This record gives sequence, structure tokens and C-alpha cells, in this order.
Amino acid sequence: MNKFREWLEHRTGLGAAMHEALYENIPGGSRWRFVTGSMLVYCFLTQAITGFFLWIAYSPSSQTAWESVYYIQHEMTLGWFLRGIHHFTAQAMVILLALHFFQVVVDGAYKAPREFNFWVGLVLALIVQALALTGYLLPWDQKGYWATKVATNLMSLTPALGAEVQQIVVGGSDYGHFTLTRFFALHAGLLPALLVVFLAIHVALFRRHGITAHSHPRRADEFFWPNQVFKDALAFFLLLTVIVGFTIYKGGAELTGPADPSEQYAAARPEWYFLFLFQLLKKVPEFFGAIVLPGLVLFYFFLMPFIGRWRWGHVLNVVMLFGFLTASVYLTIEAYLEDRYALNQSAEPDPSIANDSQALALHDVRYQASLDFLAGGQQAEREYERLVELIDHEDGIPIGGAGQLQRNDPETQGPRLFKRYCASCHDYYDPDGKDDMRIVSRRRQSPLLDTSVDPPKVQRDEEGNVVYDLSPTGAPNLYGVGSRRWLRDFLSAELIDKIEYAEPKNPQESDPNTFAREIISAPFFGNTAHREGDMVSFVHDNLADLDDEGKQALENLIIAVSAQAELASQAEDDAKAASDGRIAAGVEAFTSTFACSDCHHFPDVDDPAAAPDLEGWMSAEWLRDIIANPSHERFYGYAEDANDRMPAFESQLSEHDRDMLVRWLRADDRELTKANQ
Amino acid sequence: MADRNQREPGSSEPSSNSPPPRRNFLVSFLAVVFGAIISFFPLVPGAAVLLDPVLRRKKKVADGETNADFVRITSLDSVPKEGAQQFPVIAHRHDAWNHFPNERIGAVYLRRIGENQENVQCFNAVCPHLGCIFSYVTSRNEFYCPCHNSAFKIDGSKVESSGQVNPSPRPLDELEVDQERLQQGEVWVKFQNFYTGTEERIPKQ
Ligand code: FES
Repeated sequence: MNKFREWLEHRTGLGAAMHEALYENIPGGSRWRFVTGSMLVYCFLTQAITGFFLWIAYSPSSQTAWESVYYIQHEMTLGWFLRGIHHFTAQAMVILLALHFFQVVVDGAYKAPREFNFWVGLVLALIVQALALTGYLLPWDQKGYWATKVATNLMSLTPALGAEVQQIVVGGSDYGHFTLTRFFALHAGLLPALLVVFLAIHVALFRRHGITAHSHPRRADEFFWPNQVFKDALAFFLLLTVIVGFTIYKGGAELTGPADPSEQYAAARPEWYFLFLFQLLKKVPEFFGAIVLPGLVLFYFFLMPFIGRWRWGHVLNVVMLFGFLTASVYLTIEAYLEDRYALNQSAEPDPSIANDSQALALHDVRYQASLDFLAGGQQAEREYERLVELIDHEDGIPIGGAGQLQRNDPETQGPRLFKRYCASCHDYYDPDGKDDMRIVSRRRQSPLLDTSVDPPKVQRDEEGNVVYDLSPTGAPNLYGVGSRRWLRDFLSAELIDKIEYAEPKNPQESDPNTFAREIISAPFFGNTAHREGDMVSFVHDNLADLDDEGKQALENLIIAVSAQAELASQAEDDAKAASDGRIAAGVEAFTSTFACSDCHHFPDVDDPAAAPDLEGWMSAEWLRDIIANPSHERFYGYAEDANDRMPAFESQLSEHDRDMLVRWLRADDRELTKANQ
Repeated sequence: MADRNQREPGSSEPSSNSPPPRRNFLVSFLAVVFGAIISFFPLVPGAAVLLDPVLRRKKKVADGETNADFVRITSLDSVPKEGAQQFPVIAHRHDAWNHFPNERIGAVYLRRIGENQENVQCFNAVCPHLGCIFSYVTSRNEFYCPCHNSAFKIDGSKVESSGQVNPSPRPLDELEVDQERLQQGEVWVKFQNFYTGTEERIPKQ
């Protein structure tokens, strides 16, 4: 054994090197505050190991990146844990980096003869940032995709070569396979290699110059081993427990839905450690905020060793660093709170700013932006859960990728399309508030203005009430369309033309805009031209005060008409009603009791063509057709201007999209069954 | 505040008395323990992911799932009366996260047997030697693998006499044909792959 040791020692000098490494003198003895450097090295090692194992399961291409990460996260043994450790260690690294940097500057460890090592440290910090940035994109999920896109778009601002720089990094003019292969090569290849090289230089120089500490009269000097080694190891062990804690608590690193270049992601934010830059860009022009300012700060950091030579230089450096950190923390917190503004504030502005129209407007903008952010997050979460369900149901992901599953899923596509094409008029919300899917737009009525005076004033009627512009701006709530419940509500005198307003708060004669009032509820025809139509008067005149027999007949009618929709969720009830004879009774009520057939066509009833055709009412086919062209004679084509503002979507929405929309409105695919596989 | 005098590299002597040896030992011991934990920790989930394919298969076996399912190959009419013919096996295939609804997952040879040629015999088209796909040679009414010259008779047994070395460790891998469906004129086969190079037939899970 001793022989072997000697042999090895002679050829490698391993023992001497170990001895030198472990018996490095620490003036003033071991200290807890010296642990940051070693912890960073440990973080890096952890990242290298976990990163390697992630690598063996990861596949960089736009059809497989998300899919393979999904597989790691949901299928592979402890995959979620591995990913979580990698993710949270990265975060810890950023924090440790800041601490280490702070400590080096405060201790003046950047001064001669350690300037060079200080610069090497700065380069290391930049490499770590680059690793963080490139890693964020690799899962190819919505979050990483949009956040990174912003970052690479900023690259195109680089003077002179902007577009070229961006294209080289992205691997084309837009994101695709090459973006992933390039980012992955950087993240797992070049950047770690550079990190190792610079880390070696950093440690070698550190050894050369020794620790920046002084012997202490009351504290003995110590060797690195064992006290400092123990402190380093214990500190990293504690950090590791925190990382493991986070990983378990959060169920690993977050994964959002697969990247979709055509789908906005309102909740896109960079990782929290870049949030201060993101926030800065809201305030200053992007060239200045993304390139000039960070460039200047970095330049200052590089100059620190020189500035530190001046009399007050060191103090200036510490103050500058402190200022930089404070500003970053401030911006980070501000960004965080701004996104959650709607959670901490109500839609109603604080009374204290009631008279400040500028503050009111700001409140409005912030509130809305925050709502968008929160809703974006919720939507992403919901879509993700749905996607997991779909993948389980399909027993895997098709070769076209998970995006293909989403594109053919009404529950995912429906709300997206509805928001884009329908939500400007229609709402979608559960009147009972049980379903948390809620797509509701704000609609306002403005006062009419009397322009004969200058400045224009609000018009008032004889009683002094403000006169509003009552032109319709809405359309029925389509939640549960075609169901008995929907039809029952529709045929009630209370709801069919209901429109409810919130009175304007604190209106001021000097500013007519302050008189605008919000429409808080108009579930059916209340905010449409149909409120003056025959259907509304029919409901008020004939359905308002029914005796018991009439009520029974109306219920039968509702059942019969709703059965035309053939909703999957109502199939059992419909079959039962058919065998009970209630549908037949309903048809009877339709034709004779209420004489609906005077206007509406229904199966086995002559075509009066004075109102929309109710044969197949709200069935998939009927809905697809009315969306394609509501002015068709089957629908509102019976009279010149019977159609109230609804455009024909034939040319705007593909057949596939109309189908997605309709199936979602009817909730036919909400439950995944064998049948619709 | 900074230490400006550069020290000689390697000059490392604690200037004053070291801590007492007992404490020193305890700290050393703990340093090694924690050092070992933090060094080996990331290897644990890493190893789990690395070994995932093995663990997954074990679990499948434990759950009683097998990869051997009856797959429809063709109709009985399409199987030639003379010799043998290759047919693709089309089925669902899983590959990590992906699933492929109708993919070629392999190939088989079918030939007629029985007195009235009413029965069918089926071989996996993978050579038991090292996994090449072998072919049917009409002129000799034999199967022949171009990779290392394995040859098999029409009934799947090894050809031993041709003067050439036959490296295959076993006869062709015969697959079970669903007799009930065969009566209805459809050929369904229990499709399975086997490890190559072994004398014994060991199914792949
Ligand atoms: S693989 Fe067929 S003979 Fe070797």
C-alpha cells in the first residue's frame, strides 16, 4: 500500500497537491462568511451532475423538447425531482453569486494584487447568467419561450450588427429547431466548459494570493482542513435541504404548456433574477435599459479595482454596489407587486384618489394589466392540466408534438378562439359562479354630449337625468348554451332584456367622461338590438304570469327545444323526456299553447320564416352554420336588418376553428371518453 | 482592509496553536460525512433517471403487463399456397413520450401448413443470430440471412448440412397464431421479439 502510494505520488504529486489544498492557511481562522465561494463551486458540481442526467433524457427540437421534458417530469423515475434540484440550485447560485460579489467588494478583495481575479470572477458571473438564460428556454414551454424571446429580441438592438447577432443566436430569423440546438449546445457545452476554465483560473489565482483576511490577535490562524472544510460542507448541506424542500413543496420545477408562437402568453415573465431588468424596460427606452445601462454598470464593476485605489474609492465602490443592489431589489419587488396589483386592490379605486383623474386612470390601467397577468397564469395552468389529461387519454403524444393535441382539443382552443373573436360582444360565465372559466369584457355607456356649448357638456333630460348613448354593445352570455337552464333563463321576463348598470362614481360636471357608467349585467338581449324585438315583447306579454298549467307547458317546451341541441351532457335527460312523452307535449306547447310556430320553424312544422329556424337549435351543425353566416335565411335572414351586428365568420374562421369553438360552447368534449378518442 | 502583502504560494503554517486533537477529529469526521452527502446527493435522482428503462420494465412485469399482443397481420387468402411470404406487422408503438397509432413494428413470415393447407405457421422475421432481417429464397425453399449466412429450413429448423457454418444458436422464432380467428379467415399473431444470440428463446419485455 505504501509502495503504491509512493509510486503514485512520484508520478502525480497527488498527495502533495492534496496537502497543499487542505493545509492552506487561513489568517484569523475559519469563518462562516468564507463559505460562499466553496458553495458556488458545489452548486456548479451539482448542476453539472444533474444536468448530465437531464441531458440523457432531453431531446432538443421544437417537436420534442417540451415532450421530452414532460416525460422527465411525469413519467421517469424521480425525473421531477432531478429537474427540481437542477432548477432550484440554479436559483441558489444566482443568490450566492450576489452574496459572494458583495462580500468581495466590501472586504476590498478586488484590490491589488487581486484585480485580475476580480475580473475573472465577473466573467464567471456573466457565464452563470448566460447559463440561466439559455436554460430557461430549453423546456420549450410558453413561459420560457416568451420570456427568452424578449431577451433575444433585445439583442437585435445591438448597434450595427443587431439583426445578424440575433440570427446567429436564434439560428434563423425566428425561433425553431435551431434555436433549441444552439441554446442547448451553449447551455450544456460551451458555457460549462468556459466556466470550468475560468473557475480553474479563479481558484488558482485565489490560491496564489491567499485569502483576503488578516491574522487576528484573538483568533488563531487555522488550516483550511478540517474546520473550514466542515463549515463549507455543512453550509452547502443546509442549502441543499432548502433546495430539496423547495423541490418537494413545488413538485419540481414548473412546466407550462408547450410553446405556441401564435398564442399570446400574458403571464410571460423572465425568471425572478432578471425581473429587475424587465421592470426597468417598462420605464426607460429599451436600447438604454437593455444595453446602455447594464453596459455601464458592468463597466463600472470592471473599473472597481482602479477606483478603489483612490482615497475614497473603496467607499465609493461599496456605495455604488449597495445602490445597485437596492435598485435591483426595489425594481424586482415593484415588478412583483405590479403583477399582483389586482390581488391587493379592488377594482374600485381608493376614495383618496377619487378626485385625481390621472391617478384614477393609472389605477385602471394597472388593475387591468394585473388582471390580464393573473388570468394568463390561470389559463396556462388550466390548459396544462387539460393537456396532461389528454396525454393520459391518448396514451402518449402524437409525433406532431403536444401542440397538435392542443390544436385539436375544443377545451383548449375554444376559450382561445372565443376571446379572440367573440368576447368583444359575448360573455361566457357561469351564472351560478361555480365554473371558474370566466370570459367577461367590460362594457361602458358614455353620456351623450351637448356640443352646442364649449367645452361640451353632458346632456340631460327634463328631469335632469343624464342621457346616455344606448346603442347596444353586447350579446348573450353563451355559457351552457342550448341547455334547459340556458333556455329557461332566456325565456324569463326578468332576464331576457335585463340590463344593469353601476352608477358612475364621483362624476364631475367639468369632465363628461366621468359620467360613463359600466354595464354589469346583460345576460341575454338587454344589450342588443333585440331588446326592442318581438321575442322580448312576446316573453313579457305571454310568459310573465303563467298559471301552473302554463308553467308546466312552458317547461315541456323548454325540454323539447333544448333536446334539439343534442348536448352530450343532457343525452340521458333527453332520452328520458322522449320516453315520458314530455318532448311530444313540448312540441304541442310550441305549436298550439304558445304558438311559437307562428314565427319559428320547427321539425314537422310549416316554415313561417319570420324568425330563426329552431330545427336543430344549438346543435353542433346549427351553431357552426350561424357562426359562419348569421344572416343566412335560416337564421336572421328573414328580414333586412334582423341580424344585430353579428359578423359572418365564414371568411375569418376556418371550419376547424368553428368546430372547436362550437364543441367547446356545447361542452361536448369536457369529459374525455373512449368515444371521442 | 485588504491584505496587500503577497504571500509565497504554498507557505502555509498556522501561526499559533492548533485546536485540541479531540475536537479536531470530530470536525474532520463531520466534514467527511457532510462532504460525502453533498457530493453523492445529486447522483441519486440522476441514477434513478438513468435506470428508468430498467425500473419501468420491472414494474411492467410486476403488473403482469406484457408486450405480446395478438396483432392482425393479413387475411388467410393472402398467404401463399407455396413457400413463405413476408408481411409487415402494423400496430401501436410507444417510443418514450411518443405514441404512433399505426406503425410498422416488425415483420413476420407466414406459410401454410396442415393437410388441406388450412393452417398457418408464423416466424418472426428477425434472425436469432444477431438480429438482421432474413429473407426467403424461393429456389431453395429456405430462409437465408445475408449477415452471417444463417440458413433455416421452411419449417424454421436450422440447416446444418450445407457445408457452411451456421452461426444461429437456435431455430427461427415461431409465433403463436390465433386459431379461432384463423377459422374466420383472418391471421392474427401474438407478436413478440426475442433476445438474439442465445440458445434459449428469451422474450423481450
Ligand atoms: S444476424 Fe443473421 S446470420 Fe447473423
